[in-house]
Amino acid sequence: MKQPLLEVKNLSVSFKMKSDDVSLKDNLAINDLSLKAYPGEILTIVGSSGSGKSILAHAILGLLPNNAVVDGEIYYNGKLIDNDLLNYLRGNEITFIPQSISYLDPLMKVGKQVRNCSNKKEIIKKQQAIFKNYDLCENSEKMYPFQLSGGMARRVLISTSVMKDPKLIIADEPTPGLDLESARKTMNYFKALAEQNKAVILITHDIELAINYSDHLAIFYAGHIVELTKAKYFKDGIEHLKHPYTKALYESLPSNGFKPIEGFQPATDNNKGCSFKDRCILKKDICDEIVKVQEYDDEMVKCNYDFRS
Amino acid sequence: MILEAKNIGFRYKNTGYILKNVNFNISSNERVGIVAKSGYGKSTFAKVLSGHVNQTWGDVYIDNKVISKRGFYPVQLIYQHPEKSINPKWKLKKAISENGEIDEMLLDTLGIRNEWLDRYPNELSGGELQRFAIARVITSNTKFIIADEITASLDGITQAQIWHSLMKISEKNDIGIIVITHNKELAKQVCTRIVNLEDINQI
Repeated sequence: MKQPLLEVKNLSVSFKMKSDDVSLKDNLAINDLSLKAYPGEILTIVGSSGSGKSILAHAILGLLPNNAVVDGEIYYNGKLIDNDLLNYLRGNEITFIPQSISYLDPLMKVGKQVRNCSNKKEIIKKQQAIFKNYDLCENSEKMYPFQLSGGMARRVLISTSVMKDPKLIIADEPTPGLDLESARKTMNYFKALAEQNKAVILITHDIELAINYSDHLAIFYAGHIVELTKAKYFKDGIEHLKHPYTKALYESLPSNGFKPIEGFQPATDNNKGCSFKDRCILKKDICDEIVKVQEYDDEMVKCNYDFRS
Repeated sequence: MILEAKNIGFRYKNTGYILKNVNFNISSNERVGIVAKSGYGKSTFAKVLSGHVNQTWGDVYIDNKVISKRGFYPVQLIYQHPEKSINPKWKLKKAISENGEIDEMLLDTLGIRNEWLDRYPNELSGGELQRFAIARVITSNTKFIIADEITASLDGITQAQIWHSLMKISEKNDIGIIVITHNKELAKQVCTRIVNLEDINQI
């Protein structure tokens, strides 16, 4: 059996609130979350805005702010990631493509940024080869970020992430604001990275685009993964999906009816009941009980409704 | 009511044209999608129509009168990132009171909960904040709204919720909407007509 490159086990993240008021509880962002990323595959994370998708990425990379409290384990190639290992992995074997192009240094030419300021011949050569691969013209390495179009700046960010031959690439919303052609091109870059046996974790709202390129989907709601499934199932139709939130998300997409459901995502909590119950069409008394994890051949659903029956 | 842009041209100093000879019109009972590849001037056109930048050529009219730059501008722009358009140091109650009294019915249609009014922008999610950005531009003087990728950073359910509310409000208040988006399926769902800027921008 294939071994996961990255395994997140029972991860919880909360933020300590700056307040003298003791009645204010810490703010929970992710609760008891587990997932695996395999080499050669694209794992796409979708779900509600504010459900903890970006926080998961920041937690894997150790980029959370100081008031964050992290519980749980993250394994890389079977080894528990501690500070020393993370310091080695980050930027070398695990790289990150951040959400916003404002992460580029506005005062440094982009070629130099991508080379991490190195002027070694072989590194310059590598950067130039990567720029070429990502359709960045020869002049672009001498440009400052403000001189680039949004699409070019995103390709520079992708270039940064592959300079060191990483094994795991995490990309946070790499396509909003791009026209369809550029967005498809970007997704093909990730597909090509997966074909080089790298593991790719992709966070996006553009499910309609992402399912055509992804292997697995993790659906987030209120700090929990409610369903892990194959991208193919999402593409094949709503009858192949299980969790009521996943189905509601499916039906809300413009190409699938554009039907919203009422209500809002609640704050993340670790109470025993289901977070989605107040908006759920299947709501029953059992939804107040501890939420069951149902494992299927290639799926996982967190719900008290039995999908076998 | 008809909003009309005649022979709009725009260029920065030392650059080529971004917009050239653009003619466009929309009536208050329409929702017109503007689509085009990156770099065809969609966002610049939105800024010209809403009075955020001054065009180099041409004029923008409502019912054959050039829109006055004094007082409340009847064409309002909503962006993709509400956190950039709302003062981070104001509670939301203050932010939406800026344009006059708070309309409870409107907040209800947009799904804004009362307790959010006492929060600061960074205490709300992107979807919650975008509802405020919309509420803030709906006044009795608003005649047209430009929605520039307003739901591109939101999940599908929130996107559908916000668009359904906005369509309801625009019908009730007779406000025309210009929809800028890369998402063709979304444009098909919300627009009554779609214009490709690549065809009408003669750069």
